[in-house]
Amino acid sequence: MTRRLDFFYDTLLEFQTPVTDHEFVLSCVPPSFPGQEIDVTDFTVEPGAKLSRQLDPFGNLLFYGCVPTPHTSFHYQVKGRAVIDHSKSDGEGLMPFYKYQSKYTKPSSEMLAFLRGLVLPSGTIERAWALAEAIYDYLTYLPGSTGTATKAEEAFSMRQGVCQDYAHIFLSLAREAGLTARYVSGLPEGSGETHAWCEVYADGKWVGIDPTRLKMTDEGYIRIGVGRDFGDCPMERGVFHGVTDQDVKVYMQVSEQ
Amino acid sequence: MDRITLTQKNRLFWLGRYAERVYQTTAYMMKIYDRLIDNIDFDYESYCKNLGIPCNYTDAKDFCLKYLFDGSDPFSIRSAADAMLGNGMELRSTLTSTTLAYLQMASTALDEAAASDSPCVALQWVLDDIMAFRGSFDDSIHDEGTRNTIKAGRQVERLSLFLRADVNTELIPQELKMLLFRVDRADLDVDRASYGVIKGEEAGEKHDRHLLLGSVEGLIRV
Amino acid sequence: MDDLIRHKDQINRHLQRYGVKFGIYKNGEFREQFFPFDPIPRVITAEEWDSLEKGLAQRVKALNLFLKDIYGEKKIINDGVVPEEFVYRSPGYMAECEGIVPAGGIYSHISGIDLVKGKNGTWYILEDNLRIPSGASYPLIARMLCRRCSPATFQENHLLDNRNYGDLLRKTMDSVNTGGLNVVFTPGRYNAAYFEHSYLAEKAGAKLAEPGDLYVKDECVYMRLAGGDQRVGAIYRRVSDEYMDPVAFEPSSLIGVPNLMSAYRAGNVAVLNAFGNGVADDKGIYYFVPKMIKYYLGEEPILHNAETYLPFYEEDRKYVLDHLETLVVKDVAEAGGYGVVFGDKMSEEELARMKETIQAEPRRFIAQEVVDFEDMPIVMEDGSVEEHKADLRAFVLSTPDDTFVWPSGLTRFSRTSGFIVNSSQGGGFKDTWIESR
Repeated sequence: MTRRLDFFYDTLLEFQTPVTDHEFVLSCVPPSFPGQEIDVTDFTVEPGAKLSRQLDPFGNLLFYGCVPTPHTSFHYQVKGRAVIDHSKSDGEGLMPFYKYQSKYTKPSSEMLAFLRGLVLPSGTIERAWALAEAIYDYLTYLPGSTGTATKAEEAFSMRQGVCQDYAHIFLSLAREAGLTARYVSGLPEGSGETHAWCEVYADGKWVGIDPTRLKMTDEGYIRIGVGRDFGDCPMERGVFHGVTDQDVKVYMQVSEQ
Repeated sequence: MDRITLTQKNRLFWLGRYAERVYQTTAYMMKIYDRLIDNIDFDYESYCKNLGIPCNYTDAKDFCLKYLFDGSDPFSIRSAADAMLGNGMELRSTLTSTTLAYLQMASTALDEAAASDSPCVALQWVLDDIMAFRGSFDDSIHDEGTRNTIKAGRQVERLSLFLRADVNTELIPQELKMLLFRVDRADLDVDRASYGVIKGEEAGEKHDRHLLLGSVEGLIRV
Repeated sequence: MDDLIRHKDQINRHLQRYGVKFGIYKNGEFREQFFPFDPIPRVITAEEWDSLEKGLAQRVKALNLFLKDIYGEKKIINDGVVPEEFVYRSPGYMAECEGIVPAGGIYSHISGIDLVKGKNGTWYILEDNLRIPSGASYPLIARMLCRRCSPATFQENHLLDNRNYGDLLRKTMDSVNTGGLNVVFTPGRYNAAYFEHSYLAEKAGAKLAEPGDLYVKDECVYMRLAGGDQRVGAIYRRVSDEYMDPVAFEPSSLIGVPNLMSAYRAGNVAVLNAFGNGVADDKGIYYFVPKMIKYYLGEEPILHNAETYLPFYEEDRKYVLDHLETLVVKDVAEAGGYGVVFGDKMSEEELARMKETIQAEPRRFIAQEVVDFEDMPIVMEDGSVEEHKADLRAFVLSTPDDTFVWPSGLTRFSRTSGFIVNSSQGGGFKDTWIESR
């Protein structure tokens, strides 16, 4: 089923005291690939900076830039239209490293024991689903309980986390169970916060699975970043001069055209 | 001066200052050692006060040893020599290894003086090596900006020491003139008010010594 | 050679004069010490060198082809020569480098290959260092000073000149320079090899850049210089991958160049050595280098590895578990002489524990037969001569057109008994002579 969506994504970083020489890379614009066609109608960064565009090896669109002058906020916005059609999905961006554990996903002995205690079916999708179910039952979704630096094993031992943690734990167990799987960040239909889910490589194509909501992803999900884990595809990375507290406000909206 | 980084330029200035500090204070301490042979008292407390350094010494002998050789005292000659060599090491490609070697030798000579019961023999080598460093530098560095930056550092340090210790008063006008000569040619970030005071003093105006010292210290913004 | 020994003190005085130092961190404090030099050189005959030179060039060529393949087509994996887990589980593998082909296709421009000579006269490769191998400056300056202290020695012995290392380095940088300055990038004065960084910059006619001196603008690298910033074409960096770009890799790095990766990926600057080389000098990959040589070059390896077993393969694992007490076991994730244990030094209990660990994580270790390598004479403080273990680090410089083995090398010796020879664990160095005939 083809779906046509409007999307809007907005992040505001506020610094308590001015910062300078702010070097950043943004990976906040959804790319086009088989199954997802994107038409960006508006992309702004404030304060204004000259951006250079590159594609990273995972398939993410990167925009590099620098704001040298003092500023107390950093604001970026993306607006556009998406056509999502899973029947056109393929195995784009498949790399052998998705089979292996990465920085955020190294399993603890506790996780390995948990995995050994599961009875898993043999089919790829069935196996992925069984894992997602087990994780969904085991964890409690609790906003603010973890941070962006939290690793799978840490969230697992606390038995709580947010979508990023659900995804990392899923990837860890899925890879340990022999699946090829990757991390996805993006915008699901609705409004509020951005989301993270996973894709499993099955029969020559990527299939999306959302362990936080316990569902296979449908055509309401717009992908922005992919990678081995969160570390490969944060929407914004940067360094600056200045000692300051920063506050982040994120808002996104995806709706039927 | 299009060949060095701004950090290196900063270091050149400080290298000039530290080399001069080691040279002047070492030469001074050699004189003090000589006086101590005849048990002539040395008022190290006034010396410290003039130079604006803390005076935590028990007696003149203790002062001599620690002020010269104690690397844990940030105001000692040993520490100044470390700073001199440190700045030099980071300027290897500007100075060349050949010229840098003399700073290393001066630093080693200070260690040898510390280990000797007749320290002035090796202290003389410290002076010789710094002189050789200057000769080698003069002989091999042709870039005017580089030369004037290190020499501006030397002039600032020399004047600062003279003014603080209230010595060599008769040399001050000519040293001020040399300082302005270097600064005018070194493309450094100059404080205009301080420059005005020094220019006036050099032309015969008489300023308060503290104002003059402050202007010398504050002339170059690094 | 007796003449050289007679001049030992003079040579050391000269080395001091030039500040030939090596920094170490002890109890959290940085200290610089003079790198002890032993006047008795290691002598390699012309004939012996002929085979070493060919073997080293062959090895480094294959390693460069391996890196290009791994970050590109991955044929060696697809053809089943190297199992993929040894690549993707290696801590040195960097997914960020996939698809990036550095200028001229060269990844390891300056390679430091460590060898030992067995008592049987055969040379063995101990390990490859393809990231930031250090040490060339020490024999380079030592030769200059030895010639000064004992001219007769160098009149009587006919040696290949090693004083051209600076030129070789410059040519290597020039060969991949994308248009702009050649820069040696150092983390600063409190790095163990700072002497080397500054000395090599001087000898290669490159600028020494410190943290803060370089920046990226519009996917190009510039150096902040008095009188106007200048474009940088090649960076010989002496900083590990993860600290080079705080935006791309380690955000807490204060020494890196933010967004350097953007200039590198765009092909606007050469980085020597390339990012991600750690995948090829991993102790696990070491096992496969002879196979790489056959695979990429269709040649028989001229130089040998020490006999190595991979517990990853069942047959090898069985052998390792049965013979652990005579083997040396290396943890593939550790570097610099760390994570190396000798079976004959372990207690029964430690052996049992090691066996368990190997069975649980076979991929993490390699095991090797202990090479009984030759002792070399060292002149001690009191003038007596003692025999100690010594290895050799050979330096191989690669340009897109040529692979050149520097006719010298760093011979390091340990001053305590034992087999591990590494300057970060104490010890000294010797000059390495290559006879010209």
